[in-house]
Amino acid sequence: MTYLMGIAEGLGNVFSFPGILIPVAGTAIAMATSFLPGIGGASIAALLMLATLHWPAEDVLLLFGALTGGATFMGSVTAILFSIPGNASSSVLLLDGHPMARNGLPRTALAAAATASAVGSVFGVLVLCLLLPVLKPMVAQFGPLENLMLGLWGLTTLIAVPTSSRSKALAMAVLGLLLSMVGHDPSSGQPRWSFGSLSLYDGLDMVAVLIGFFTFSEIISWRQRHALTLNARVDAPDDRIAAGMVAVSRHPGLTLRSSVLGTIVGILPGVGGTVAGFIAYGQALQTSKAGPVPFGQGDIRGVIAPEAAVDAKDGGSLVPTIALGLPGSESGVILLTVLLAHGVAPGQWMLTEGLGLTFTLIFALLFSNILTSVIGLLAIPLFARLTNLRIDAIAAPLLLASFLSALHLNGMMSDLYTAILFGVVGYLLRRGGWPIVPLIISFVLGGFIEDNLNLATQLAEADRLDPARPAAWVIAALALASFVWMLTTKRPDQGRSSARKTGPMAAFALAALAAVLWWTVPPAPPSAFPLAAWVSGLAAVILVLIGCRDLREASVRVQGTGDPNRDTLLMFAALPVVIWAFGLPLAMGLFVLGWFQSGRALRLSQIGVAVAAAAVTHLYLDQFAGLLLPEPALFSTVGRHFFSGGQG
Amino acid sequence: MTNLLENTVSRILAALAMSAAFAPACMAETSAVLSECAPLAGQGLKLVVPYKAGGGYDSYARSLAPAIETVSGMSVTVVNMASAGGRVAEERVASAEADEALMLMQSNLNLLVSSVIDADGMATLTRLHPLGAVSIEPNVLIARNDYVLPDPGGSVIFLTSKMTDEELRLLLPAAALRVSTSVVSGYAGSSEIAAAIQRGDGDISRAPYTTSQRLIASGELSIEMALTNGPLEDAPDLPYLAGEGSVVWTRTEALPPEERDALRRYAELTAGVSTGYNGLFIAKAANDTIRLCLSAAVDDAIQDAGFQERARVAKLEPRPTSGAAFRDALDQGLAQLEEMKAYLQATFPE
Repeated sequence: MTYLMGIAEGLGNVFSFPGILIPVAGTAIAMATSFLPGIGGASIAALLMLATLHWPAEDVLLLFGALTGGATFMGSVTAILFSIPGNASSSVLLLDGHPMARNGLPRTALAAAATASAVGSVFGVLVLCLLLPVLKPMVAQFGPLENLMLGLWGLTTLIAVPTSSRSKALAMAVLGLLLSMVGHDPSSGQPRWSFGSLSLYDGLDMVAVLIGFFTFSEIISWRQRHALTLNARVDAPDDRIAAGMVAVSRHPGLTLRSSVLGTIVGILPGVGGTVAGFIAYGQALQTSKAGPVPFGQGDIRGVIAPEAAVDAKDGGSLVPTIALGLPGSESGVILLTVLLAHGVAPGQWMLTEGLGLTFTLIFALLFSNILTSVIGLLAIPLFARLTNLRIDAIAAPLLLASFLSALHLNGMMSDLYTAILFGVVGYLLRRGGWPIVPLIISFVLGGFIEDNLNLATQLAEADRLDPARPAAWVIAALALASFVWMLTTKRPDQGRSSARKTGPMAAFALAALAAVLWWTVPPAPPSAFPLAAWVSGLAAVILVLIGCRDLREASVRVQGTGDPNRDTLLMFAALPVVIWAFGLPLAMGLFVLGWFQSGRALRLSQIGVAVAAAAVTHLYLDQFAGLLLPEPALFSTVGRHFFSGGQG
Repeated sequence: MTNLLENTVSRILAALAMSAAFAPACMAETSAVLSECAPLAGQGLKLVVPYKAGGGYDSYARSLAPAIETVSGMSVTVVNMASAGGRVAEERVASAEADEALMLMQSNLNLLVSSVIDADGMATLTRLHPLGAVSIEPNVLIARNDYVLPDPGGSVIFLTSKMTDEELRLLLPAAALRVSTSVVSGYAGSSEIAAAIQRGDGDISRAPYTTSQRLIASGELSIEMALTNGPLEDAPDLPYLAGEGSVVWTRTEALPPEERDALRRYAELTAGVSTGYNGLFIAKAANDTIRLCLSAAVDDAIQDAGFQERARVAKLEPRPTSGAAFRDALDQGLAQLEEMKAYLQATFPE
């Protein structure tokens, strides 16, 4: 089958009637279930996989292509509006998308995301269609060394993060690296910083940490910024859908670069949309001139770049699955299983005789991406109204949704505890003026870098690392070039004194990086990477303390009894204990009650809301959630005492 | 066109209906319910899968759940608890209360290896009661199509995911094959390992037979050897590790008898612990009612034609093993692992 014939067959399968109903249904299912992390995604796909076992292959590919394409943007909606990432890939929108909504520009942010999503996905699919036959050998050659260089490039973008204190930014970046190392050592499999807990063996769940840093810390801060009786936000006068759409067209270079990055990252097995989004965000930081709003506080380019990259990634991620039979993600595993269940062999067949099915899958993905963006654009007025709801009206459902999202990530209570912990930590860091963005970027990339550093080191030891790998050195050269460029370019938002401080900071960072690389040259002790990170972090903290005229600037303060956030902060801090003792439903009810009460008389309606929150939580966990949560400690102890004659 | 529309709509509705069918059933035909399960009819049973949704274990569990519901009258919910390579889920089920209906789906290999490596793993294994197995999963070695296993004295580079040194020593067939092995560990999963082999990072890796079918589907890789004691039932022409006519048998023919017999025995042990049973377990602390009901229900459900058909269509290979046979296999596996450890300690004291 020729290429053109395959394209024609694929288009025909997608745009025939009634065949088109299948990707429409798939898009609707994906949109409806991808609002919140952990609830949709692979679980829904697994169920549908079993339910569609008797379907013809082309119909199945229409459905699963649409499931993949429809999921991404809806996760961005909740990330922008409520600071809850609907999926891991959307978490990067917490950096600028949610601040835009907070600044009264939700329509603009959502429209920019929807438009960039459509552009990115079209680009990704176009590249896929054009390069599919030649990508196969390239994909096969991208290994740990190339991934390592990619991760380091992403890390170098930290230097471009706008911040009032480079020392604090460096300290936060190192803290992020250290957090990424919790779990186990990648080379030996030995537990590391897990404190004997099996739940921490796989490390801190990334989405749980992000929910904590952004969603929960945001909720804690609501009491300071918004009295409960006021509207949540006041829309800016220039908040328009058209403004968001036009913004994408005003940054063609940024959108194109991000789409390219996303496509490339998507092609690499195992790298994922989250990394694609953050790398694109980083390159936007590096290459963009100062705008009216700094990055991290609501710059629209911080929405356009990652959204374009993440959706371009979808097309790229089909390449390893189709060409090599190597899925790079959970959805890829399910897709591959679906292909094999229907007798569709990935690899050479799908690139030759099976091109019709291949393009059916690709165009279903594209159709779904565009349909999602169109529906998203049309629904923006409805979405944006959600931000005008009174905070006391949305606090309870938002809290409930956030808690349940954290639980559904891996079915573990520990993820909820993680999210709560980092909600408290995130709030305190913000209050103390410690920048969050460097921590997030290094946390996301840290594990990826260490895993690939570990593999590259072992391959070098085993003499299986060919130093003359062009892709690795191209990426390294790009990383070095961008690093040097950022060092030598004075950014308009920096004063002369800041530019002078950048030099020593950058030199220190370079020295630390060199020490890490030198230290991990074979033979490499397992603890080299975290030790090097500790040394760097300690040095950074010392520099911060030395550089602070007023030591209170470096400390985190929780104000006295006048701080309206203090009660909420303490409630969050106590929440894990309450959940452990009383169980989640009762804890939820008590928390909502405490949220409303906070020094004021309770209204009957608010008590009703608290009871409803507890009841809904209980009903959901009992009937629908499919989770296995620990029994409340207090009840099981009391129950054993009373029902075993006091001998329990 | 109208028929096409109707067919399409009805297919979509059927798919949604079939999806709902995997949710807990409200009622079961009482005539199909085992007498042992009469006291538990209508109660909930959680089938815990220690990995994320969509994988092989999850597919087996979701294929089996309706069959268990039918024979037990209980409403079965599949729960995914993915953490620490399954250890969290294992520990949770092993710690279940006497009246708590929890069932675990896990490979006996994972439990056996954990039990030998550390005391916690052994503590978990001793608190689990095997009910039966849905499939037998031999392991194979995969390599590039053009790869030839080196002669004795040669070397191979073995790729694996994140495993402890102890696990590697126990599971590698290197000693039996008389080749020296360098290990590169830390790949995220079988797909990444397969890509690495194609790239030339390493030579071979170990994978369950079912997984290997997916990995070799692209035509770039092939199965080098089955880690079995005798020919693989599904692929009798494949080279196999142990037993008469095996690779080790051939490689050790010229050795002195004592050394030859020791290596052949070690190969048999390696093959023995390289065959995994995807099993079902409950807590040993479960009360008699739950144990009797679920033992009978599992024995029936794994033989159910509906379960086997659903599993086969999902490209799984169900091979039911009764509770008694599964318990024997577990005991045997434990003994084999201990014998392997002793051999390794005697042969490689460092």
